[in-house]
Amino acid sequence: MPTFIDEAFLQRLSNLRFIVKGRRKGHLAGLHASPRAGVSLEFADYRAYAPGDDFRYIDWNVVGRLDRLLVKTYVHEADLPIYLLVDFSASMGIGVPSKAHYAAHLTAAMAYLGLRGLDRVGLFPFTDQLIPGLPARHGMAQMGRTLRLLRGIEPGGHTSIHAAVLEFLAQTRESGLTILISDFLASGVEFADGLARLLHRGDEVILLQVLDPDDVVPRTAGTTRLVDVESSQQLTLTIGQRTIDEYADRIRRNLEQLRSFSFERGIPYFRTTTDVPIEQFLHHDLRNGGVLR
Amino acid sequence: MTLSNPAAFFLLFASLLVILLHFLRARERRREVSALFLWEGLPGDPQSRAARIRQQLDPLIVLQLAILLALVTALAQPGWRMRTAGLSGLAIVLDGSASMRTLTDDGTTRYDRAVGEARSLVDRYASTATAVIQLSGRPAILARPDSERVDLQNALLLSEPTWYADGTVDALQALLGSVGGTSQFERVVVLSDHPYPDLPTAFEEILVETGDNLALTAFSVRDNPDREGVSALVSVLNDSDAYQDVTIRIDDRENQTTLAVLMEPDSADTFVIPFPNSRGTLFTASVEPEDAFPADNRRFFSLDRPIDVRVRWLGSENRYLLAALRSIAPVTLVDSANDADLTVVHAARAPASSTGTILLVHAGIDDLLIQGETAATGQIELADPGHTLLHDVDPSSFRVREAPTASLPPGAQIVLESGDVPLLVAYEDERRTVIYLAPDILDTNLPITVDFPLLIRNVVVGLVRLSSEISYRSAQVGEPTSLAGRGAVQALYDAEQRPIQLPDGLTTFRPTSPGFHTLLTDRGAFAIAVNVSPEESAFVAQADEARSTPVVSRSAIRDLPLWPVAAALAILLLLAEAHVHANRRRLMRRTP
Repeated sequence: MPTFIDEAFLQRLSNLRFIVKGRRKGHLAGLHASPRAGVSLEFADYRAYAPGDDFRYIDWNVVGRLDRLLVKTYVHEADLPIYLLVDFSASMGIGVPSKAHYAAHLTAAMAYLGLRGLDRVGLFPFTDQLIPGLPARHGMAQMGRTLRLLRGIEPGGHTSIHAAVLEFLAQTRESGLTILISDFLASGVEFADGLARLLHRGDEVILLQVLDPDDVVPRTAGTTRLVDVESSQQLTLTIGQRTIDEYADRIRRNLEQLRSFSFERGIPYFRTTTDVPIEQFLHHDLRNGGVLR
Repeated sequence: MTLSNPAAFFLLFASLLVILLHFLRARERRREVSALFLWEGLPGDPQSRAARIRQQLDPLIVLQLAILLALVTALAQPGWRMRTAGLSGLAIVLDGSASMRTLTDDGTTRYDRAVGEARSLVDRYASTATAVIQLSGRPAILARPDSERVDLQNALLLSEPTWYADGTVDALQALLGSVGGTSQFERVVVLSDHPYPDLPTAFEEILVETGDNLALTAFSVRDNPDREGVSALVSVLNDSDAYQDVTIRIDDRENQTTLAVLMEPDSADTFVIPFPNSRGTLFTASVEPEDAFPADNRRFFSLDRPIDVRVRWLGSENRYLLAALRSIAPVTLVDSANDADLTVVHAARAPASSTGTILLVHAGIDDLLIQGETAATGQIELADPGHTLLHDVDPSSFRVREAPTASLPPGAQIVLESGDVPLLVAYEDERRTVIYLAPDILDTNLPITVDFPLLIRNVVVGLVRLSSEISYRSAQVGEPTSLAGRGAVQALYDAEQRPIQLPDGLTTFRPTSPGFHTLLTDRGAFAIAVNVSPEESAFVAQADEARSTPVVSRSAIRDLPLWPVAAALAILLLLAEAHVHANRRRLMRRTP
């Protein structure tokens, strides 16, 4: 896997950060609001003083006006575990640049944004099972580990998002922001059960679909032997404009099915193709989609 | 449109290979896809236009054939022949000097090569007014600027190199002036085998092949002072980078002498070669080994003697005496004493009025030399052993049975005698030269001795030689040659015995070819040796270094080369082909 991140690219990402909708119960201080009260500049509520409370948080103005001892509480800003589940099956190796390359680039950007926001970032590459990845950790050292891992992965094997998610759930106990990156080119929504379990655990899930432009609109004609890169199944077809039109209609329905599935479950879903610059996808699609700010 | 290398189009046969490879490839394309289920059940579209075109016309094969065509076109070096306003005229100057006859490696002459270059120039500037000039010792206009193309080509094809020396630049300028002036010709191209050092810089020079040369650059023959034959003076040039074992041969048509020397590279030397036994008049010097320019491997020289002896015969015939005379030189019998070189009197008495050179054989002259009674003779004695009549003669082999006595005039010089009987006497006064051989030849063994012809030769040689002022001279091709001093000119023939027409009264001619020319006058036949100018064999190596590279035409840009365009097109097509190929690979979804 070639080097896909550089200093200039990171600088252009420096003004971005993740938006998390709910309050997360993070263990460590971070930049995300926590359901626990804590020490921060953001006021949360008043409560009655109890022995042992820090005198510094007693609101003396209230005492003077109401003669009641009330203590100000502040929002506890907790860190957020960000899980990056990235599909590295054989179908991701299609295209120039390959979808896997694009996905790895996107993953690196996400990891950087998370680590820069003082969150813990874990990387979980998968095919039909998890490939040994990185558990969620703080610090920029994790960035280096992430990049090294991404460089060492070559696409191959079958895809099974369902199996991979189940294995992921088994390996991680803490819920967090789970970003699933794949081409999602599967017959039906076979990963629905796995995603449901993620949501049940309390994870905030984001689906990023990476496609090759030819996945959407094939540019080929003539008698062609089509070979499935994952199953090696073959199909010989004389492709003409009518065939292309039929294919485009079929994949459009497939993508619409995925979009409907996501919408119904409140899962943010974004689709991109490898001819779209990463930065454009981050700054435009994900920012407008409320994932980044 | 011109093609410098049309043979390159044979490479188009490689297109067959490209097409063959195209058809050998699997017609069915293979493409990897992410999800085959998206394609399953889709209807095929064999009738679609895209599919049909794709089946019939593969962009790659089209591009590959186009690349091949562009490359082949570039190799063919096409040029766009432009009739430009700037090229007002073209003058082609062919060096027609003798050295252009030199054979080249492919068996053609340098002149043939120059003509080939000239014809390509004529083709290239088909619409340009073109003049063709042959430059030599006698320059000539082969075609004028207003000549038709056909006439121009014919003039080139029919022209031949001359035997003349190099022409001068002044003569060239004069000829250019006669066909419109130098300013009329934007290009003046000189095709030669050597550079002209004083050629104007605006003129272009194209040198045809130059090569090694072994040459005789000078040759003359002179009589030895003691009259013992001749000496030949020969200058030899070794214009090569190698040592040469050179054999110089001198031939007087009867005898030969040779000299073998080792010549250093790029050297010239002069040799004096003794030829003591020669009594000839026509000499040919040759040098071996012969090279590609044989004209300067052979030079000619004539001692300007008559080549026949006119004899007035008095008295009875004697075939032994006549044979001895004819062994020396052709004999022409004449009746008049004025026409005779020699008067032979055999067994008779010549009148007292006889003049000139007289050979008395068993004869006398009234009032001068009267024979007496015959007396028996014995041992022959040499009265004057050093006399010129006895050169190369050994009288000891002579046998004389009897001879008449004689009353000799005062001053007569007895050369041979037997007792009191004079056998051989020489006498000379202001009117005549007399050689007296006393015995009847039939009373001697002279006819069967080898010395008798030598004795008669010694009689003849001294008689007929001409004055030295017109001897020892050889002419050069193209140089004015005087015929004066040999009598009234009757006819002149070249070396091939073709007659040379001379205007009445003109005693000068310019030889056009080398070899022995024959001049007939009222005094006899004379040989005139004509040689090629030694300048044609001169060193050219130093000059070669100065301007040996053919000058690039100033006007070449007018013949616009198109091969860079074809080459650039080939590169563009190659890039396009690479792009299409890469795109196709991408479409085929190859796994990185």
